[in-house]
Amino acid sequence: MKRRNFIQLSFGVGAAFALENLSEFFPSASAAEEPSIEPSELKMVAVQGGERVEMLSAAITAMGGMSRFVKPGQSVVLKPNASWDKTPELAANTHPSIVAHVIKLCLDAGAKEVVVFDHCCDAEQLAYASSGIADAVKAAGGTMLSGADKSLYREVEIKGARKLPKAAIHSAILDADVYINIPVLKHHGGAGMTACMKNAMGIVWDRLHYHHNDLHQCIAETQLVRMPELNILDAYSPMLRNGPKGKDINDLVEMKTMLLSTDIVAIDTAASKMLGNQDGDVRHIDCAAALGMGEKNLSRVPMRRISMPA
Amino acid sequence: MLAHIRRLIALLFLAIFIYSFLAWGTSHESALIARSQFTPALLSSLRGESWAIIALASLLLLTLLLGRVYCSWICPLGIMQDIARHLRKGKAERYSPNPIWIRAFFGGSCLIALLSGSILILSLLDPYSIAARFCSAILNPLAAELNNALGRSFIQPDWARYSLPLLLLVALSLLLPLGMAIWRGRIYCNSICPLGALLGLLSRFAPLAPHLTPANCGRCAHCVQSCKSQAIDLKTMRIDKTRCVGCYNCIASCSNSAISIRPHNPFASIDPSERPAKMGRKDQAAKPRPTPSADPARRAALGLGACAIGSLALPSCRPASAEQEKLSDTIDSLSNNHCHAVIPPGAGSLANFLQSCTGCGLCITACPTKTLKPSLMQHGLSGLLKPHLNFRESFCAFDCNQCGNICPEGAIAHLPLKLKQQTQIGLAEFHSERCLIWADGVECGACIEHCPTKALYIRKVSRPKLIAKNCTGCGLCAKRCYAQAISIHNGLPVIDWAKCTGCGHCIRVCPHQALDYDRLHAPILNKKLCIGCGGCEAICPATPKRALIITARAQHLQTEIKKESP
Repeated sequence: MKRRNFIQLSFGVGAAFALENLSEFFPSASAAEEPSIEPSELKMVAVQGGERVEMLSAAITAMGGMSRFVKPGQSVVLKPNASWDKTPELAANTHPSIVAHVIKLCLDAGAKEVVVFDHCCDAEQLAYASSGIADAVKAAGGTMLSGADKSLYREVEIKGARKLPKAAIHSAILDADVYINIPVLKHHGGAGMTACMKNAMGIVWDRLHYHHNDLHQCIAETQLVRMPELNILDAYSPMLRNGPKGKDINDLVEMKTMLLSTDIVAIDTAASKMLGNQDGDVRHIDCAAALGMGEKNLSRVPMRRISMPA
Repeated sequence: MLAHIRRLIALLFLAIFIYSFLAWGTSHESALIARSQFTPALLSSLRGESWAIIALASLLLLTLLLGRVYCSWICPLGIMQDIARHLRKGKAERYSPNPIWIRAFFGGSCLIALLSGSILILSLLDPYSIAARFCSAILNPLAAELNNALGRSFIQPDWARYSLPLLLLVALSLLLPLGMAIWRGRIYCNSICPLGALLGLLSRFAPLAPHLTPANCGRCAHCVQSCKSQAIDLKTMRIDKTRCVGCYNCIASCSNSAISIRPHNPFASIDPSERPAKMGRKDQAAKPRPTPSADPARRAALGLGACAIGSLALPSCRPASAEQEKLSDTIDSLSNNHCHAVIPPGAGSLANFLQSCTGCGLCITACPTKTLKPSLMQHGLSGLLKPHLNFRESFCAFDCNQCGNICPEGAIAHLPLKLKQQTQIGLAEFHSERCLIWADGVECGACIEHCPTKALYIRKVSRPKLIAKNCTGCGLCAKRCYAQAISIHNGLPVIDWAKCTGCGHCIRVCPHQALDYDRLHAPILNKKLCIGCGGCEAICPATPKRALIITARAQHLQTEIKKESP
């Protein structure tokens, strides 16, 4: 078999899995037929169809509104994926419209301030500009902080960690009242997949330490520093190969999906299924589950599925 | 009036010039002032750039007509010297004879070196480059500090961009002209500056240069005191146009309107009868001036001769000749190019690059990832201060061709982004024995994350793994290995990964279950796709030496593009 054919086939298979999982997520049943769960009990909401901003609004409303997470006068830190010098349509970064809308929702809920940052992989100046996030944050009334300024990081001890006993963490994460994680769903050459947990690698200063010392365990242990109050996963057009940077638009598949969850393990498990991974393919999910950070068995997660009207 | 306008315009030019080095949002347009400088225009013209030919032609025409106004109005170093001169207490100048032989020496050395293919002397003495390097090495990080102190969005001040010896060189090469200016006005421009020598030749007969009308002169000598070039000689009633930098201070200082820039016949000799009748107290001043003991022309010839001899002693200034480099490299092979560092995309070939870059540092400040660094000896002596790509901490951004956009000298050609993304400036060398995945079996993949062309990709590899507690050191695996990849050291098998084919035969033959499959996600490099951006080298966590090292191309090549189904 030629390599090209093999790649075609494997992506075909992958996409088929992904679609299958999607249909598992979104049975033809409408939301009304699901067992009704109190919004405040919900741990996960999955939305499909429509445009990003309306999907986000619908999902947040289903979760009980932003006021469930942000109380008046609190400070909020958003951690999008703004790591790459790529334009929004290439989906290597969180879509700027989502970041902007989260800021708006937070400010409407009475947040004192909303700060946004990422410790970029490409040059920060380029990545912030190309991703469109710096402009979006400014327009929405948030504050963009630098992730490249070492003086903003503080060394903390991580209790219960084996491989990552201490790390320099961005002070915005340590100081804010509310931490909202807004990654984009992508394939990842090194870690298999990048979603909510992997995105938190952008809150630490020394990432190379991870690559030396059991990458997956370190990713899981990063969550011990601080669990996000809310994870919002942009899976509108996930990158299925060549991640996390991506090569061109052909790497993407349009799924028009967004996941919201308070449980970082559950949301990453769902995300992993969407990319067509088998259980155990993305080891940091298992590491985090073993550390007791969340529920890997999706059937035990109080969840609601919303299909947006076309 | 003219002098005031000159000061305003000169300061404006200087401000825009400095701004183009401050590197936030450095664009094609902001390099306009750099492009209109003489040396960049000259070098770019040699490469056939049309805008440069226009700029050069206008500068030459300006000089032929108005004299060396470039030196006072446009040249950044000239303006800096004028500012420095204010540090002197008594500001009065006096006439000094023309140091023509020094000028001929430096100008001639530059010319001869240029003709023999070395730009080193020019790049060290050129006023544009000296001022530019000062902005790039010192003002740029200073501005970043100021920006941060004002609480604007954070900019990393990059003091380490120029290493200490280079920083000293930059500071000294600026302090020399400034110090000379404090001492004796524009003496640098009239003795050392090679551009001054060239423009001096052109401005000799400029019809619109400041001109002294002896009939009106009251011999108050105010003009002499105000002349930074010390070029006004009241004994012969002439202004030395080869040294006059067109600052027009003399016109402002003259209360009798004896000096003007009205058109005059530049070839006319001064008629003695035109001289003012009153010659002050003594009449002997009217006597013809005694002929100088040395003929200036002979001195110039001597200077030229001296520099010809001097330039013979500079063979090392020539760039490493192209013959040494094997130009027959294909994109996936690399001859031994470890002798020099990677040059920016658009530079084309090392020999060309070293001959047309003066190391002004504009690209270095414009590089958004700070990968371009000035060279000390990375390119050899001929590459002093010129940029090279340093992948220790950063790498060349894939969607960026800023250095080529901004280079005013044409040393880095402007490549369209598509073309730049296929230009192989270097080639990654993969040392699997250092790679964390190959050597230690850990999960890493950092290089694959960063590779923009996906020349690096993951392949699932199975290979034998030793379970030491089961091993008795019987050596059966070593005997049976088809590839002779296993040897026994200290009673344990050691596998040479360069030879191992991963067939698994050793695992099957081991009688003690001491070998098992180890499944790796290992990086593989496709050299035909590698553009040498250095993403992999910059991020590789292997220590002390990284597993991926970029080797430089002396001649840039075009890569293939990875074809994938949509």
